[in-house]
Amino acid sequence: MKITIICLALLAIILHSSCDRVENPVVVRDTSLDWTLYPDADTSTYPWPTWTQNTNTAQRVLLEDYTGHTCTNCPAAAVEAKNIEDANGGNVIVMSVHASVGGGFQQPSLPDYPLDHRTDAGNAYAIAMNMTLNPSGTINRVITNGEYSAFSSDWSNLVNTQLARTPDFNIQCAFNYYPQTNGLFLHLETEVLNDVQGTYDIVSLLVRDTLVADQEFPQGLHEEEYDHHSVLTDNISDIWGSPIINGQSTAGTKLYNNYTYVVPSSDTDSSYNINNLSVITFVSDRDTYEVKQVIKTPLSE
Amino acid sequence: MNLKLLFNTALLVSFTGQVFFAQNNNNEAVISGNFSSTVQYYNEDSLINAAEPDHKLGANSFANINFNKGNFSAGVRLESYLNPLEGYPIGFNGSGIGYRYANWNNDGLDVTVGNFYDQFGSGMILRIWESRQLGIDNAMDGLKVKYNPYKGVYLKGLIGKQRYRFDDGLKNGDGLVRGLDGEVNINELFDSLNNSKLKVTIGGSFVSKFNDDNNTADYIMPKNVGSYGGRIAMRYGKFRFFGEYIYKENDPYPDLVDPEFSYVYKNGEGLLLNLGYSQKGFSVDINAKHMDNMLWRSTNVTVQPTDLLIGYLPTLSTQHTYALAGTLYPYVPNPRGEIAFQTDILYKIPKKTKIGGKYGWDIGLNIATAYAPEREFLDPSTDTGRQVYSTQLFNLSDSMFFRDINISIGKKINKKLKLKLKYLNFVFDDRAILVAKNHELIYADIAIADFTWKISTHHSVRFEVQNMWTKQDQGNWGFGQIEYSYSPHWFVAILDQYNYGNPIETQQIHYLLGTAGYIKGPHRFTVAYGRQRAGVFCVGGVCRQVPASNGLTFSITSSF
Repeated sequence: MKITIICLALLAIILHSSCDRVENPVVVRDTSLDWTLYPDADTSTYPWPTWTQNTNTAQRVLLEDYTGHTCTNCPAAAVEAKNIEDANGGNVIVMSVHASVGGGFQQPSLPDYPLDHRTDAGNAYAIAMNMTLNPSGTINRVITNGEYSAFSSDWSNLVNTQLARTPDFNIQCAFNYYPQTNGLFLHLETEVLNDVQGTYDIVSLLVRDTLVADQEFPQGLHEEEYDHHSVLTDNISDIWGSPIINGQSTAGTKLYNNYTYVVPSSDTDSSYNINNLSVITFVSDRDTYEVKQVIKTPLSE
Repeated sequence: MNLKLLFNTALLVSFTGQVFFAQNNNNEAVISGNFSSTVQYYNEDSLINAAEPDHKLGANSFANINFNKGNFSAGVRLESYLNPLEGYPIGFNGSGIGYRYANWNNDGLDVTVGNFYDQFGSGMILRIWESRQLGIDNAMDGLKVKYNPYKGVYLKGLIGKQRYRFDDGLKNGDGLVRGLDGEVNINELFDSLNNSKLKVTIGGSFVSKFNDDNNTADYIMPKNVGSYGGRIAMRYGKFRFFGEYIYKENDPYPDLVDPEFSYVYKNGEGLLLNLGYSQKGFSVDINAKHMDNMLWRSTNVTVQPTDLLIGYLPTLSTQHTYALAGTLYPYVPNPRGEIAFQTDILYKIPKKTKIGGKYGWDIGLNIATAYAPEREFLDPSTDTGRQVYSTQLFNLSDSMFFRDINISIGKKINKKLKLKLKYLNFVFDDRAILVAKNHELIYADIAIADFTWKISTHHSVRFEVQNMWTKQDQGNWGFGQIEYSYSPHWFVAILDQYNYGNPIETQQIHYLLGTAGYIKGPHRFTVAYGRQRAGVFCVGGVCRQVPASNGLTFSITSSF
């Protein structure tokens, strides 16, 4: 009798374990993703994120510091930006953008300033928002006194104004990075918190947390190992992002975007070490450029 | 070659109405069998949309021939569809052997090779069955072993492929079905409980299938799918209870009707509960069912609704035998899922009482209903597991599929006259399988009166009158039938179904049909001529559409 039960149980276990359970059955056909960056040929094994409820209630602020490596007043503005960031416990996110309309302070200049920190995205933003001066900045890309551009002396007050707003959006970010291919799979969840009307995009940009490079200081002083902070490096999404809302969207709506990106090799430039990289993601109004919510996601392992 | 000869001989004998010789020499060997043939000659009738096929005549026939000697038995079923009757499911063509088996049993071990039918529990997890009238036959072709290792312990294992088509012979599907079932009768197992008032039987089943029929480029298909569950049956005095729960792992199918339900990877589940009480003159049965995503076939490609079914979707509704109630709006369980309830009460007012009179009254009340489960649909952009929706046990939505409230009264008035009255109220939604002309919620009331007048020992007449009132579909119907029996051999009947309420005046049609039959011992001959309306023919909640026809039908059944 016992033997019969044991045999039956064993047989049932064998049969049961022979069942195929498919966790991710949908064959991925998202052409926007480069699946060659996924090391396993079977894309069904890809570990898609499981989203939990976003509990953030804070309006975060993007402070874009338009700077240049031969701009002698820019290091002081950078200090102001960093101080504001540090003082607000993660609710202010600084992004150093090496760009201006004329581009004079950003051009490589031999022998002391050989590197080119300019990016297509930074150049486009500077032109679109008429950032003619360095140093200057934008605070959530809100127009103040008819201009996006604000002097560093005004940044703190403008930031405080933005921090006091009630957010219309929340963003969550998850990612998988595969060193074998330098492949970054980025997943974004955008939640609409209040009913909104308009055209909104989501933008993801790669920044290097610290870039040690040349910088000119007042009186022509040359600093070879200046710590450039949170430097805009490349766009992961399109420069102006991916459209997520066109028209009306009601509170509670959740929107999802996925990107793949080849991270530049750290073998040739150590500043691209994955532990020195972050992704800044923000929702912006396509018509006014205003940033409605922003997060920063370190890619450190 | 031998099989063909055997078949041809059998077919010749079948059509001439003769039967095989039965042999029984002092229990040495027994040959038995039965035979049935229905032949229909078609007339064109454009009024009822009845076509006259090119072949003009359809004939469905079969004969079972069984041999038994001691612990050994074997048999074949010869089938013939020349051509299949109009409306019969596709996949039945030609003549040949559709079923063959050999079986022996000895010392608690029972082995069947070849074709076999079987059922685990209520059939949710496995029901291998056939209905020649419906055109359903999902017979297994393989091996079945039953073993009784100890008193009260019953084990069963099977493996095989399922019958899929009949094309001059049996054609199996490619899918493989493997199953195990165990049942323990507690009262038989323990001597001390042999005479207990409480009777308990528990059982468990595991069934898995393998098929790689579906090569869709859009999904990764599971090739091996398992289903398992348990059941318990109890009886205590006049009370009885049966419960079974079945769980089915990811088993996605294409859904051509509603793409939202196409390739659902959500696990399926089925729960069936029955509580009953019965005593002399009174019984009540309460049933509840929750089924979600329990379509269970040995293939994952689109096939005909009744093809290659492993599991059975039990229906909680009365299978009505009266024509208007039984064939216009019969309920078919929704394979995507449903929550259903049924209560059935029978009461006999005792005879020789003030109310019951000399013969008493038989009163029946049946209430059955089915709803769609409340489904919370998931966001497709994040539903990477393609679960599609979530449900909870017995959490029903407000979307009613079906409701049937019917009450019947039977009364023997005197020695010569019997009366049955029945009233039915239907609410019927046919989203799963289109039964009406259009998808719509149908409200119908049906009243039935059935009188039997026994004129003398050999002569009786039965009158049946029915009417259906509905504002939907084809509108009101009337039905009348008179049947005269000259027992034990002859009967003749004439019936008319009249769609007098059809909103299209030209479709207010009489369907007049005359029937006559002769019965002699095990042989029954029937001939019918006239119009037969389109309808739905069901057995146990499994149905097939029957097209309208006009013509002559001859059928013969026999056994030996």
